[in-house]
Amino acid sequence: MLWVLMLSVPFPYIATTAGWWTAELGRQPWLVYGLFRTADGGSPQVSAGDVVFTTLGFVGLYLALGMLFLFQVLREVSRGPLGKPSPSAAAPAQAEPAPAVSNGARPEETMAGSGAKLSR
Amino acid sequence: MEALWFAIVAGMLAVYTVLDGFDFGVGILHRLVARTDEERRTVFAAIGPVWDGNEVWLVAAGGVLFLAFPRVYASAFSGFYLALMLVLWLLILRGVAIESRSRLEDPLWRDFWDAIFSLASLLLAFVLGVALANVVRGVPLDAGGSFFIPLFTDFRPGTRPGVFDWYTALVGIFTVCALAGHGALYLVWKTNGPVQARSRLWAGRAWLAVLPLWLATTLATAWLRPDIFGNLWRRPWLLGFVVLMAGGAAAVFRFLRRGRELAAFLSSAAFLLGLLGATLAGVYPVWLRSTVDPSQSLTATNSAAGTYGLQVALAWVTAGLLLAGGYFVNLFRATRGKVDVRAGAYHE
Repeated sequence: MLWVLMLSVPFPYIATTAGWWTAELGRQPWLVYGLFRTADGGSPQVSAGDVVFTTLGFVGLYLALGMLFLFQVLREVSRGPLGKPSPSAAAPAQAEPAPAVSNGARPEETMAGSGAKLSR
Repeated sequence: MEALWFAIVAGMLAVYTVLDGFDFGVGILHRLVARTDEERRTVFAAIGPVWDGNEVWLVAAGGVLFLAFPRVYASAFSGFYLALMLVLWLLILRGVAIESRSRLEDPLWRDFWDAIFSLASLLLAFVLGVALANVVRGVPLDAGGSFFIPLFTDFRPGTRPGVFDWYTALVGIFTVCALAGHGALYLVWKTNGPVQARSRLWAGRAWLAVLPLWLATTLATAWLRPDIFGNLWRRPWLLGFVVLMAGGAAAVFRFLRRGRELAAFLSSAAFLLGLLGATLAGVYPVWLRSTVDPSQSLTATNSAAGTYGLQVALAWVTAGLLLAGGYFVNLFRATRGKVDVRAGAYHE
């Protein structure tokens, strides 16, 4: 049954994104519900070309960051659980934690916040 | 009431400059003061606990500007659309670089992110100065209170200026040097050994560059906006900011020579506070000056929110600032002392 958990990795991302869509699209055509219409909220002096330019910029930036994210997640997955030399399907009990979470075998691999605590 | 809120927003921007300013300075000098991986991790550990908290002051200042002066907020965020997007991308890249470098032990990977971190910090410091210079110089506000400013036009601060012209670029370069000096003094305070020695060297160099650039920006500002200096004389208590600025600059050299690390860093903070205080108090009550017709400028009075709203918000913002202040005191107390990466920060 644990492989179901493994397949559920994308679900939190879908849930978060869908939640935003519900809030932002469901509110239309209001910017502030009942008070301020989206059509009245645009910046008249920002041209369509500027918006295209920055949208392309964001698409490019997010594409690069998305690939960076996938690279790091896949790298963690390929390393396997608990610092074993090769990933093995024969150890399902240890394969349980989500692949992206760093595990106890490498306590030095800390996030910025906990790194701060250690730096005293 | 409007004057009080002008002071609150200006004060938050000044605090942001002092706090995130040393993060930018540290980023600018990162590759110069730290050579080995352990040294570079030392630099990251020095700003690690504080940099993202510091950055929130910019968000908070933007939020308070929206609350107190919605017309300025609406006008500026539309008008500076392209420039603000650049800032946003640079802030994203800088944050990603800080978080990514420790993920892989490969030296090329780490060098790559270190380079991104330094470049983004350098450009952010430059753009921060450019932003302040835009406020001082003015923007082409029309009668409806809106404007759009391209990134550049003919590089001259005329009636149709761009974000970048010779004046704003000069202030930008001055800001890069001042923040580099500020960040170097922070590293002198927070580190030991070779990183500290090189930081001390770079603090001296950056501050030597600050002095002529400070003079040049002051002269350029006096030429472009003589009325600001008139305002300073008309409201003599504002000269306190000038004294703070000049005293801070003098004290930096004095304390740096004597090895008083924290005092030198605080003097540099006083210099920045005095500089921003004098500038923003000098432009008061104008938030955004119109280069087309000065009577179309957005001021503290014609752009403020309703008095009742400002009164209610005053209680909330006081409570919020006290909480934030308490948090920052606690944060700097909890991380006091020199950083030591051998304990395991920013490892792999």
